[in-house]
Amino acid sequence: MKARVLWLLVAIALVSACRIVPRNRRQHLADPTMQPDEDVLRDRAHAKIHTAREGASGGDGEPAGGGCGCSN
Amino acid sequence: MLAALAGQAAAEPVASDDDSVIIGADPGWRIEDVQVRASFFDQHGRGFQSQAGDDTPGSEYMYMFQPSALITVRQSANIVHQLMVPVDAITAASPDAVDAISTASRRNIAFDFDLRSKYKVTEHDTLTSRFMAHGEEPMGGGVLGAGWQRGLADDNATVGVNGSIGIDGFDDHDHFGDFLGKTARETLNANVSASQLLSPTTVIDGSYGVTYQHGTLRTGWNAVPTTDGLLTDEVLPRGRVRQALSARLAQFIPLTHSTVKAQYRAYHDGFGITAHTIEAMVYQYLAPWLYVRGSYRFHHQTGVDFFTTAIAKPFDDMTTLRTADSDLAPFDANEWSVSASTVRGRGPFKLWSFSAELMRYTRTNDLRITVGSLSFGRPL
Repeated sequence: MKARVLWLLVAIALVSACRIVPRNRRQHLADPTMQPDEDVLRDRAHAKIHTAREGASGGDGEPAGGGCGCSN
Repeated sequence: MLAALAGQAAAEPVASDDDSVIIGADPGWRIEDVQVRASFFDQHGRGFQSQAGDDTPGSEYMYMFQPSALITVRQSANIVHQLMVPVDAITAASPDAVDAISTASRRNIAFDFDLRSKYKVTEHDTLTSRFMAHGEEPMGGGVLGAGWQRGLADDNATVGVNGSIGIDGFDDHDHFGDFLGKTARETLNANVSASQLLSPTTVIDGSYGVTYQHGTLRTGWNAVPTTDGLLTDEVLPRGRVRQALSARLAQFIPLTHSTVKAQYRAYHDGFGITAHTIEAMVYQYLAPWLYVRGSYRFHHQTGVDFFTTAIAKPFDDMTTLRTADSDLAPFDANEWSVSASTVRGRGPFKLWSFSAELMRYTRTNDLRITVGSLSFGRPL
């Protein structure tokens, strides 16, 4: 049952993805809080901990390990 | 690479004469924006790989001051460079441990020079490049990377690929701190990513990445306890394939001037670690120029297949895989942070932006890190 609900939600998301959002309706998407990199230096400081102290860091968008000498 | 392309771009300007009439002549190189951040890390805990202190597991006490700067330089209308220079001043990392032989953890300065560039080739296509150099005692290394991103359906969706190659060279030690010579490890990384606008207030994005590491992956001075109360060296495989899949949803709520973000990440690697991470962030505007942010992150990982806190003899000194590194152990990690930030261009600070953050990271295998940060910046 849970799996069916999950697939239904995924299907809804994909169907809605076909909708085009015109540029003149993207003011909320341009809000500073909506940006994926709204604070690069903060994200770097957080990543410093994850990279140095979690063996499961990296691998997605960034090279994993290397550069810190900490077994990652 | 992009700098070379820039020369070509200058010789063959993309903007037509009509564009220059409307938007003005391209002013060329200029610093667009500068941000500065100072963070203080205070770490406490114990780990079996550490020989600091009188007890086992040893101390992981450390504090670190990290100033960092982010400088955005526009080279032309189509080329932007972003230079990040973090400096980690580690003022005490296990100062009584065996690794203090190299003084690397007694008092150390580490720096990165991380240059990322974007070249907008056409209205829909963007090329990216990355050059990163890292230096600290007793190691140095660098990363070279390149990528491509394409906007689809009037930028309602984007797809991208990028990859990088990295090399680290460093001193190898055994757990007594004896120098074993120079050694290295190499890293290859490739990623695909995509994003999609779902509504005027909703965006979703995801990525998959794979990394292959080869060479000396261990930290030389890490110790592994044996069942008879002695210590031995850490032995890790010489290769490791790491994969991660992540998805993120961002939703703006106009009624309350709030933003909610949720993120999930799955990870698996050749050492046997499987990890799941969820993170939720809430942003709330208190005024048009001021918002607060709260986040919570939960990370669960299994340990590597060869993790042990007491290896039983007999074992082969050179080939039996083993580690007692607490970072490679099974654990759960909880992290929360709160911050307040101003929005540049709005409110009393005009072009200036300010931010303050408090973060707390705890692990179930005895590690606690508190981070306080202040930052400010402005466009130039």
